Amino acid sequence: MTLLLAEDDPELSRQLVAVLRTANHAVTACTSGTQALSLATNRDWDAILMDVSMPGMDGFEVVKRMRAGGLMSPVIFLTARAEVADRVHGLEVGGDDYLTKPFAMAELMARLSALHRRFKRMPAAAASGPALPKGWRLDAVKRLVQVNDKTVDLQPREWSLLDVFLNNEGKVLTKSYLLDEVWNVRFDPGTNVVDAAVFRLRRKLDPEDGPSHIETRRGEGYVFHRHDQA
Amino acid sequence: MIKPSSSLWRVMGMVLGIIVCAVSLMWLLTSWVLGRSLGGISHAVILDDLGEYAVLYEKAGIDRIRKLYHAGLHEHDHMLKVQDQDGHILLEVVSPELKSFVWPQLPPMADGQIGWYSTEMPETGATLLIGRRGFADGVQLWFGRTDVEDIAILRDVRQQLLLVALLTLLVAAFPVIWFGRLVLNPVRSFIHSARVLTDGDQLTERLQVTEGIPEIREFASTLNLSLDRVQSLTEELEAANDQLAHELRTPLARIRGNIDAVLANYGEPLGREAAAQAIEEIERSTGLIQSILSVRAGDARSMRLHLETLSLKDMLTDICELFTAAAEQRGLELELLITGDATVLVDRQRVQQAVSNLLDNALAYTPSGTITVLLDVEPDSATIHVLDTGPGISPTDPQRIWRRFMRGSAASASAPGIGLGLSLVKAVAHVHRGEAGVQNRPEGGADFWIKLPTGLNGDATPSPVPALLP
Repeated sequence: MTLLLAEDDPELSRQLVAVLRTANHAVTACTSGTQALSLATNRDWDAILMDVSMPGMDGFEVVKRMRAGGLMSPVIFLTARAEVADRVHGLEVGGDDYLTKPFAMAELMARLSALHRRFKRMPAAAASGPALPKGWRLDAVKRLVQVNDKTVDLQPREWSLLDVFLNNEGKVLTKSYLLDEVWNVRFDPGTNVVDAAVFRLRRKLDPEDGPSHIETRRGEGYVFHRHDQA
Repeated sequence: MIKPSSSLWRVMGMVLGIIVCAVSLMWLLTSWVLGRSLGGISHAVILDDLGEYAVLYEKAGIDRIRKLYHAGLHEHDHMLKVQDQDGHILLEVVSPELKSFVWPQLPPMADGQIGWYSTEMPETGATLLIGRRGFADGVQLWFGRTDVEDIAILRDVRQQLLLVALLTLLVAAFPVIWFGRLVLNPVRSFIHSARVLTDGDQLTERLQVTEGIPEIREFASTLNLSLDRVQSLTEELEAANDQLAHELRTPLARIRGNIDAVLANYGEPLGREAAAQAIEEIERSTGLIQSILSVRAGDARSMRLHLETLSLKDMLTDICELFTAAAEQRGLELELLITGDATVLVDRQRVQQAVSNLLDNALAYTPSGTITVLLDVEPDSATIHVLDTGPGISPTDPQRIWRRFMRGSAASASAPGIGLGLSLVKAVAHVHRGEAGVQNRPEGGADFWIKLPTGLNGDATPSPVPALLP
């Protein structure tokens, strides 16, 4: 993807550029709102990462003007303001997603690819649905998973959780990303609710012998594996 | 609660008491003094008349007395009698009121001697005083009068005294009203303001004096000045805190970015473990900063809300679903008891977070048993209860636990938390014009609740202080 990064903190900018380049994205970085606005109008970006509080023009204002000028590139706001009202304001001025600092790089990546998919109107996977582990069959209507000869009945949220995992196979999914995607929760509920939900899903779906489909990566999040090779 | 106007009643009672005492004293004193002097006057009048008649008799005989008596103006209750040495009556004049009176039989007086006789008239209750004088020829002169007139004077004086008392009462009402309006009313409004300052989380309340004595006005303005100072200091401090909280996010983001890089590019298990630990700490710090900001915003009622109309039943179902797995993992049962539903206009994330905090607490402090989420719907409010079967709240805790960074006595090192959770619950309830509280359940365990108004236009203005006097 070709990405535009507007971030006035040099250290954060450096880190983001490094991570995004490692992930094979072409990144152009700038440090002020005015620069961001002129760069945004110069080219057609796959996505724009926009800090909110920048010297000169703030990120909200830049996006407002971009949208007024007809530029439709998807925008993710990066901000130190975590209030729901700020997020809503960000989305109102034309942003597409909103990340609160500090955030996990993995979460940025997940949101970036989700946004890209949505923007390009690409289906999450082929029309036949995401690739499933060997021996699995899904019944979306009855929310049933057929694992070999065992039938597993899933609760609505368990189903959504599994859906997010299947569509992001092999990618690190942070807890906050899962909370937002599955439970529509944008705060830290304190208790290890995500761990517990993942634990329950594992107990229902994992083979009795062999590695779990859902790998816990401490400090990062969870990764779903199909284990087809095994 | 103080009674509406107990002091006013007290002042009224005192003023009334003073007036009653003063009037009674004056009454007694007047009666005594007047009684004495009127008695003296009665004797003097009789002596005077006796002397006058005696001179006439000695100079001109009985006829002059008769003439003079008839020529003179006499009050009704006088009587005069002249009798010779044998007791024959030479002259007798008795006013009609005294007709029934029978002259007593008394030994004759010697020449120039004066004797007294007094008796009570049975019909009128008046006292009749008679003076008599003897002459050299044995003639006896009697002259009497009753004190009816004196009694009338006394009655008159007493009536005047009562009138004065009534007038004094009227006049005394003015200082009482003045006291009520200019002293009691301001003091009562001060009490109200002080309560608002004590109970509320804000320092914006000030003492109000529309009418009041100068001392009270000065007191109010001096106290308001010091409150201004306290408020501005607090606000400065809060602004600095908020700024700090915002400013901390960026360095945390920088640190986190670097640790993420370590985690992504480093293979040693010990190193990865350390990095993961560091990230968890950063997440905790971020949560803390967010909580501080939210509680601050809630205190100042400046929390920006993203209001949506939603069903509390759906919202609670969602949030319980989120916690079901975690409760199960701890061997606890999480049940949702909803009989009715209420539609509220709230910030979904905020209210969910508040309920989450209560559930988080319940999970942390309940070793075994059931956590119940209950929705109690009333006509204009809905209350969300989170009931647990834990140790409950110790008697000293109910006030304390809502304060910032305060943890209840049941808290332990194993239950993580920094004590901001309940402050946030309260802040969220407040910005929604609701309330939050806790009580112990009779069957054991704690009952934390959040009450939200269901009237969508619940613009609750603080009720004004009831005026003491119209």
